[in-house]
Amino acid sequence: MAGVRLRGFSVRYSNFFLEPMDLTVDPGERVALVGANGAGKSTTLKAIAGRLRDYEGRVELCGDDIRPQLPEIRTRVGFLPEKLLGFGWMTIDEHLRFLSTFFPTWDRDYEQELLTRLDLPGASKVGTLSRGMSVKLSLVTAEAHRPPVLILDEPTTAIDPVMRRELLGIIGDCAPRGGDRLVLFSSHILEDVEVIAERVVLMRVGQILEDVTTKELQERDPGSPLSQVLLSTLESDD
Amino acid sequence: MTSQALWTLVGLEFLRPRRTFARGWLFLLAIVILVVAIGSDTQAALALTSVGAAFATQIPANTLHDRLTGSLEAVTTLPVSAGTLAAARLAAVGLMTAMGAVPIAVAGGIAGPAMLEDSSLIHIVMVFFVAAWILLSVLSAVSLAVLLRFRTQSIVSHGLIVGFVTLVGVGYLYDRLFGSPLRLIRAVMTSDHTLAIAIGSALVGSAVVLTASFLLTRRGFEIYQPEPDAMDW
Repeated sequence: MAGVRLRGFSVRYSNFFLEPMDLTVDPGERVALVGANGAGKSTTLKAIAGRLRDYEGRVELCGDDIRPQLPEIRTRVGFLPEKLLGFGWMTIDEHLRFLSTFFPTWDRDYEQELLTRLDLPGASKVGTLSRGMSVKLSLVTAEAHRPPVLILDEPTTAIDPVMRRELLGIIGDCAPRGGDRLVLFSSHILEDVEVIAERVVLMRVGQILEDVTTKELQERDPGSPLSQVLLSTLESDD
Repeated sequence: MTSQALWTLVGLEFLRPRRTFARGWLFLLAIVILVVAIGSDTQAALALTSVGAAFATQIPANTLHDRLTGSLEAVTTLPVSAGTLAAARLAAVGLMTAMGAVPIAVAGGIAGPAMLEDSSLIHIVMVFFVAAWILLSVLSAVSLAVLLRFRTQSIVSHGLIVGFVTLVGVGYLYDRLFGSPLRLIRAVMTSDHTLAIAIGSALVGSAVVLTASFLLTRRGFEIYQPEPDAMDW
């Protein structure tokens, strides 16, 4: 079972500082990182996905430090970045065929199932895709090798409501509640947190303000939607 | 998995600059037609050589393109080692510069009889091809390594310029210091003994330089910090 643990994880750039943080996410948990721009959500997710080298502290997957396991550790983590990584001149099929070479557990049938479900035409050039279609393709890329850990960085930002609902449904199906897959995601859209997460980590300017379950959050104001409670919590923490 | 990954990456390195190559070969064809129409063998040789050299420098130029478009981020976030990435790119350098050596060999074949008093002992085109391949591979590998490791994209703004300046600069310097380089070429190519030593030395020197280039390129991939806006449109 793949759990994630950060121990004294910290980043120091010239224009950005992430205070040392500890965070543990167990297999089966669906956790949202929430906070304004510059809070450190993406940086944290990139480190867990094995996309960041310059950091202090320890990032563990299944109890092992991921640093010595780079770059192979990336085969055990599905990562949906803010922007699609790839080559615009490839078609979707070529893009997926190229990537499948690097992931021993890539499931071609599952990939095709996802493409069909997400209505992605394999012959389309990657460079011509809209923001929403790019996110869909990123999701296929992150998911087709069936990683135990799924990390989604702003998956629903800047896409239309219909596509957003469709994506959230598929993300939910990929990692159903009560399963053993770990999902970590960041979002500005508080309604998404309500749909996917069971636990919320509130972040602000490089530090964790609160780490709380959605149930505990809801109990603070049972009469209001969770997104409203979240917003109030973020405002009060300011 | 490593071998399959390596060949997939070599394939990618071939596909990425396909438009640049297509433009280069079309440009070459246009020049050949023009020079043949004019009817000057010497000009043909010069033009073909220059254009051939330009091909070789497209590889480092594509590394610069990588940085601008974010495709470096796409490859450096794959679950493959920096060594595999460097090996794939340098293997592609070796294979692609062979294409750049073709017009130089043709140029050698055209200009050879005029340069050499007795060309019956050697296969001029083949010697020019091997020599050009080694020279261009080394030039490209070094440019690629320096560009990637030391992030010198602002200095090495375009591979074509680098290739042209290097060839013209080296030729000019040699001419000023030792006289016409044609005399050296003639001396080397008309003596079996000297030719063997020259090729042997070139191979040893190239091996050393290519190894150093591999190490630098691998380090460049290792320390590359992906940038956020990543897409090779």
